[in-house]
Amino acid sequence: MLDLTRTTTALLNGLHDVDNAEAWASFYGRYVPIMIGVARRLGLSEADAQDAAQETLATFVKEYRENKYDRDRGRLRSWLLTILRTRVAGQYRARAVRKEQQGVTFVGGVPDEKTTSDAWDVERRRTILLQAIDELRKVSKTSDQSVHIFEMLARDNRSAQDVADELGLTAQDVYRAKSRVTQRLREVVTKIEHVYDAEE
Amino acid sequence: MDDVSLHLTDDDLLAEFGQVLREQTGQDAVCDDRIPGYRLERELHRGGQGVVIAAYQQTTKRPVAIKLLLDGALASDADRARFEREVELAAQLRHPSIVTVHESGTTRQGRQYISMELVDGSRFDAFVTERFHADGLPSELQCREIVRLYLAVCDAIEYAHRRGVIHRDIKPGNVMVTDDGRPVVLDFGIAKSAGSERGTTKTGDFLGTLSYAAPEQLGGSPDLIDTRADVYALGVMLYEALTGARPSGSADMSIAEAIHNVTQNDARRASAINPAVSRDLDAVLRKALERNPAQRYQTAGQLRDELSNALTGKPVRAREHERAYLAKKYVVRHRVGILAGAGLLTLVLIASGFGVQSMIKARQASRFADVAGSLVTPIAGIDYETATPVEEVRDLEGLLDQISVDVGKRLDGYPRYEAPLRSTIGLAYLGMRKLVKAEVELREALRLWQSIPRANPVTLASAHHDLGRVLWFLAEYDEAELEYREALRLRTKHLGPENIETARSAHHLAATLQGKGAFNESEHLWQETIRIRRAILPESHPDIPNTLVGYGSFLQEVGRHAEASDLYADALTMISQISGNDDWRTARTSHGLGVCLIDLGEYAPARDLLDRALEVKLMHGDEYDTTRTRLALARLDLLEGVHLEQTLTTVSACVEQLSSSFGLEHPNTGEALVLEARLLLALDRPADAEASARLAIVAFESRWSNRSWRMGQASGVLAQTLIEQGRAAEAVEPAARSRTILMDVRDAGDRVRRESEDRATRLGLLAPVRP
Repeated sequence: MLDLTRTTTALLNGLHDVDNAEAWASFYGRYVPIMIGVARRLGLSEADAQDAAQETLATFVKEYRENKYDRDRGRLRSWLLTILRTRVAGQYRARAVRKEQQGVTFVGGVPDEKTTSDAWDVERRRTILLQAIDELRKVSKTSDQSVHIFEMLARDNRSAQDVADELGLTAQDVYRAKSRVTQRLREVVTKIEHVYDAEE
Repeated sequence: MDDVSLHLTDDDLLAEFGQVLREQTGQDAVCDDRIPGYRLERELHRGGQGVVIAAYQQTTKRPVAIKLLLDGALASDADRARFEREVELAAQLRHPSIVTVHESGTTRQGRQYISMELVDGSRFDAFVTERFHADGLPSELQCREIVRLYLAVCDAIEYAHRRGVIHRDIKPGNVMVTDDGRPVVLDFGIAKSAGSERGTTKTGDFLGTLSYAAPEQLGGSPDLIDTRADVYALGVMLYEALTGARPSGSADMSIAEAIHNVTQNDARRASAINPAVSRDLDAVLRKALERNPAQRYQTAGQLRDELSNALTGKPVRAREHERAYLAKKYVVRHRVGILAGAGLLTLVLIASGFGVQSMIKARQASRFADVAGSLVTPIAGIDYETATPVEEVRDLEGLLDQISVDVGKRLDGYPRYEAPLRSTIGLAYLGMRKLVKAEVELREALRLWQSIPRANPVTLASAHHDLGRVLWFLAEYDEAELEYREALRLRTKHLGPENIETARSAHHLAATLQGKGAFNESEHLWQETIRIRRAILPESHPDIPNTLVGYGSFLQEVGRHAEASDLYADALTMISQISGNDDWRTARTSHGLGVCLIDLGEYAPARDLLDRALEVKLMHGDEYDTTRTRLALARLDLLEGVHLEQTLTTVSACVEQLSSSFGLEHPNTGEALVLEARLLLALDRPADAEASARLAIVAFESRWSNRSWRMGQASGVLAQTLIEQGRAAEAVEPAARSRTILMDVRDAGDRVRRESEDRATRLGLLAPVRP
């Protein structure tokens, strides 16, 4: 579950304690999905991207524990990104090795800062939106269809009438559900954005 | 970043969500799939293994929930068969609090699905939070309501257990509460058979699940998992419902740390977090959360009955023999840290407002160690009802962190007072294997002692010795050597050569020099230590066999396996007479002898000894020690070629654990990596093996071990992985390097042997590299 109660700063303080499981879980939930997304955007497969994100986190933890992370020196995201870029480059290299075996020349390299930073922004937004909708799905009852209605409208690009017909509702019901969910989402998204902003 | 969402219209936001959701769907294309006979309606939940979708079964005209597994969730035919068998078993369960499974099958696109009763309601945790945690933690009355609700969950699990079905993945996400307040358990026996491997890499799910996993589930031995693992998970969930916190909070990012938490830390008492939790409930939870399955409730039915007793005020069996049991347990668990623990009490007193200054006035600072020592007895006899230290000890590291900062602030400028506290904190960290923190504290302690004019040289010697210990653990042998030498010099000068403390420094210096490969001096010191200890200690003192074990490890290192095994056998006889068979020292000695016998090719007795060692070590719970034995057994598996897949899993978990304790760039981790590489080679996965071998080389390169036989071995394994991948040209360099190093080591070994009192032994150094 996404923990909205703590800012990343409080979280980071919690990370000094290895046994502070909650802090670790929150940190993990907050940044690993973004890093996986960034790695995928940089061309890695899902599995490789997951590996790269895990390794990045491991390195981060190590350096963090050794007090190598200086809050005044740089933002959390650039620190994570620096590690991630190296890891992605490592995966490129590994892939290059595989390709060479197959007789294909593959040129690897380290992805540039701008590309990774842009990818971060996109992925961060994407992660936040997905977290928001997950949060809503999680707290709503099985019988509550409004999130589902919202998804039908959003994902499948369907008209309100169309959705209403399928579910046996009126178009008014669908509009109301849409407006309710949008409003809730807006709140949750803002809340999550704040949590991330506190550090970045 | 701005709050983008504030500037967007509803439709913009809708469009943005639309894109994100489509992308997500596109990634696994699950929702485009079709299942004959069903109309898929809407997504209810998405997790690591798959998606749960509300659907309508056309033949029976009923709403159902479909769990659709993602591609690859069932990797092999065996997985698939097991999955189907489990579904079949689960489908036979009929209980009001167990979700009814209708059927399973395959979608048009070949994905596995399960169709089951659609439960209208909320997740257990959401339900509890909304109903009972709205105004802070639940009150006493609310706790009772939660427990009453929970009885049904326990009953459901008990029902399944009686029919031979273990859930294995009990967690809040798998328990729903219907609108009329009926809890329903989902995913019986299914969750874990469906590719738990894959599940582990999915972030949220993995974390969620891990918090509820019993310690034995994390040990990589699936055979050990039985109904008691479910009991543990039930305990975790109830604990969380009552306190809002997880008992040992394993929801950690690294597998190793999570495992460490679950296997090493006992839970805080629930009532310490929520005072509304009764003592009886406390005791029941504690018993449900026992790390050792044998100490836990054996069935969910027992747990249910005890909870029911707690509700009705009947006596709870979990509280029988409380005192004696706890005292014993404490001593067993904290054998390493017992002295540190004593010092800790001093620290706790300080932290709890017992003024540092007044305390120091009351007792001379130089007597701090004595004060600490006198507190050992009260700790061992601790009383569960009244005393707080158990609680403090449980959260030791956080407390130490605080105290460390505090001591710095309050005692700045008083090195004479600060130094002993730094030593105590450092040793406490060391006992917990928090090596980096321990090093910082012990360095600071030494610096402080050195800054004091006319400091007691014996105390100064201890400071050097203690710093040496942490450096040794960190494999910083060069630096450790300097500290031990200074400690030995000071102790010899001020305590005399035939002294117990002096012998200790000699022992440690011998081990350090052995680590560095300075074999001549190392052997001399080992022999000297044995001589001194025999001269000054009573025959039944465990330090004597302990030294024999140390010298045994030396003989092993230089390839004198036969002599080593004689020595270990002697030591084992002695130590089991002194300490009994279930003692950790005995286990450590059995381990040493076991490893020796592997080198001598006597696999059967070796396995026997190692199994026995592992059993005892598991009971005593020192993680590093246990890992060493696991690795030795894994090596045996490799040599005998038995259950390699499973062994690989174990070894990989060991690598994780070691790299979390010692760092990736540590010879201990490196050794495990070499073993991993060899297993991967044996399993015909040379590319993966190459990665492990390269990491191992990095681990060895980072330290002293550049020229050790381990490096030679790692290079040899690397060469082999390259050859098997058809990259012979690249293999030339590591192969040559391996050969050079191993020849050098062999020559050095020969020299050592010639120079010491030589008995004919076979040279085992080249043995580990298999063709």
